[in-house]
Amino acid sequence: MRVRVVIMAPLYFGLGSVDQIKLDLYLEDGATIRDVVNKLNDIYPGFKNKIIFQDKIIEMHDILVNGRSIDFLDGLNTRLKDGDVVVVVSPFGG
Amino acid sequence: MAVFRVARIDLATEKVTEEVYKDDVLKKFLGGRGLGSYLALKEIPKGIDPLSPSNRLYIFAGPLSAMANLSTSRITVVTKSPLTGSLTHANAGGNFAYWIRKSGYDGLIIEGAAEDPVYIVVKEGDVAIKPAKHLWGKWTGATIKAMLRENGFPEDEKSAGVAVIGPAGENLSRIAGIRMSDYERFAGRGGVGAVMGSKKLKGILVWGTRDLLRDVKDRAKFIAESTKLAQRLMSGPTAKALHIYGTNLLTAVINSIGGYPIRNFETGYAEEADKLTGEYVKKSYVVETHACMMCPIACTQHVMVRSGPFKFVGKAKYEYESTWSLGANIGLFDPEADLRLQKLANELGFDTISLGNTLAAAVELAKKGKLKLDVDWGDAGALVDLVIRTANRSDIGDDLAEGDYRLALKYGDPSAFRGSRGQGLPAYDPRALKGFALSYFTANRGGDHLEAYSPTWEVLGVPEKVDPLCETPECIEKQARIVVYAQHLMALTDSVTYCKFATLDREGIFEKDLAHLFNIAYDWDVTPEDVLTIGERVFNVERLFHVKEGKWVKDELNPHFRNPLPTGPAKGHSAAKMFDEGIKIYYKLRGWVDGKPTYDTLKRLGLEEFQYLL
Repeated sequence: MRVRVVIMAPLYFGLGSVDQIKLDLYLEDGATIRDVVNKLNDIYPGFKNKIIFQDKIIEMHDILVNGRSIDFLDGLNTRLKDGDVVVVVSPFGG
Repeated sequence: MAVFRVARIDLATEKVTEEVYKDDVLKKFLGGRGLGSYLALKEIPKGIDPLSPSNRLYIFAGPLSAMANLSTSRITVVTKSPLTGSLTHANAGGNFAYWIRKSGYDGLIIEGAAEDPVYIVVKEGDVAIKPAKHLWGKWTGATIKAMLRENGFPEDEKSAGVAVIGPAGENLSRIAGIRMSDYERFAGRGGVGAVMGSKKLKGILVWGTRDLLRDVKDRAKFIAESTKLAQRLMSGPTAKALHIYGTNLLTAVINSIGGYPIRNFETGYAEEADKLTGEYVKKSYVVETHACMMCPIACTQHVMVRSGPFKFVGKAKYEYESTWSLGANIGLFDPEADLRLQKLANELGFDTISLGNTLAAAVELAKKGKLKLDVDWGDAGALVDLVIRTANRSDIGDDLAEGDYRLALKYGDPSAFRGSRGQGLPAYDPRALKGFALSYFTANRGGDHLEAYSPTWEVLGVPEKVDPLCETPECIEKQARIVVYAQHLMALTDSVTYCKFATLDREGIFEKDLAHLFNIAYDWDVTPEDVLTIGERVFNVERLFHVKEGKWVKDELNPHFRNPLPTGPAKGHSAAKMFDEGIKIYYKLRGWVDGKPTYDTLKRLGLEEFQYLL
């Protein structure tokens, strides 16, 4: 299945892009957010440690699936389906 | 002991008197929004026209302003709002709070009105009123430069504190703000710029060399402790993200969760918003990062558009709210046109949020055939033209200058107004972030996200994470409780005065830290609970102003938000249940009945002197 991933604020996460990073990941059926993070860590080594600590999302950071925080879904075990949009959210203020 | 020196300036008689407030008042209200609201409640006569000489402007720093590197250079303006007809407070960063305290005063009260345009200069404790006829009509940037030059300063806005109005304020637009140095900062909301304009006051310049720590008992300890807090604040992730991208990181977040208002809150999501994001603008137009005086976060992003039909001269300060209000909310997704509108709004002296609300209401009315105007969503050229006409009050601009609420009423469609208490809403749809269903519509100044900022707990999880779409009894109770707490904390920040961005992070500055700093600085013996209660007292004083005016007392949900969101990730959600059920819990927590404090509440807060208002 194909999942669209958006990493907002890439500079904050120590990635080379100023603008949002958008990519399509092709995953096995039944894949979870944990699989997405692992895949992103393969592409951007060290990325996992910027968003996950002790198997949980780091406080004040978030991952959304179709606009819903995984805190209100099934956390890192949230299962994905074809066409889902995953957004990695940095802290912010406004 | 804390000492708060205020110059009271009567522009009609040019009489200046000095007033000093000490611990007995400061421990109850601090400065900024707190002291301003307290004095406004006591002094502003009931029922006056906000644009008459009887109105007053309270321009106050606070007892910790500019004394520590903790984002404390913030200034608050309190007055009776010409937009809402009741009390408002508007707050700006920059360097004005720093320089006013250096000038020898902690605040100014402006009353009366001059016959001809004037500006005020406060230097080393001396107040002078100077003619400003030659500046009347000038845009804000040119006015600041001229005032600096005429008073012997370099034209660099860092060299003194300057507050000015543009044509919007001069022409008494009810959505005019006050521009503050340094650079394009605004005390924006509530039409405070029009109050300055009604007094024929074009600007205020403040400068001096006063020792800011002169009243501090143990200055070495104060510096050491405040430095520790600043380091902690800087270690937090929120400060880091704000520094890199500024506030406009929010476009991507809020659009992703379906709470990004599009075309006057028609819906909460737009695919086209991609080019309005902080990331895209940073890549394409940001030329420098800037800081308010003594702020370790430095979140401000300055942009330039160097070519194309929307290019402008010099740089502009841009923010999330302004990008939304003069972008997605008017159906405009061209970032260059959006930034051009922001620059224009800053130069003409508008509150960008209310300007966007008003343009959005005008387009909606035109599309419905109620207002004869050739304009469509995202029609950049026509919208730029409308902004200029609004500042000058020329033809239809005369109606737009009255703001969105009056415009919608005049053209027979109150539903085109998307706000509360007469002021339009900011850049979050309360149907997708339901904390706003309570915080927007209970906010004393109306249409406000900064009296309780729900993304702090609904997305960042501070102090605890609450599902923004949840409507179970437990979630509603939790939302009401956190909104009440946040309203006290935000009233406190505006009275200290320090930046709300220092409260977004678990490593931020909260009541415990403030009590600690006050006790060191002024030899006070206050607890965190005492300090937070100041926030509650201030919030109640503001509400008492509504009670006194007999206006906006009961909190009401704008009917538009009873309709479900038609599209986007929060499709199908409305704000009705959260408001209707949450407001009962909210009133109970506050000790209010139908939006009005009870005698017992006033007594608990030491506000018995206002019991005659009940």
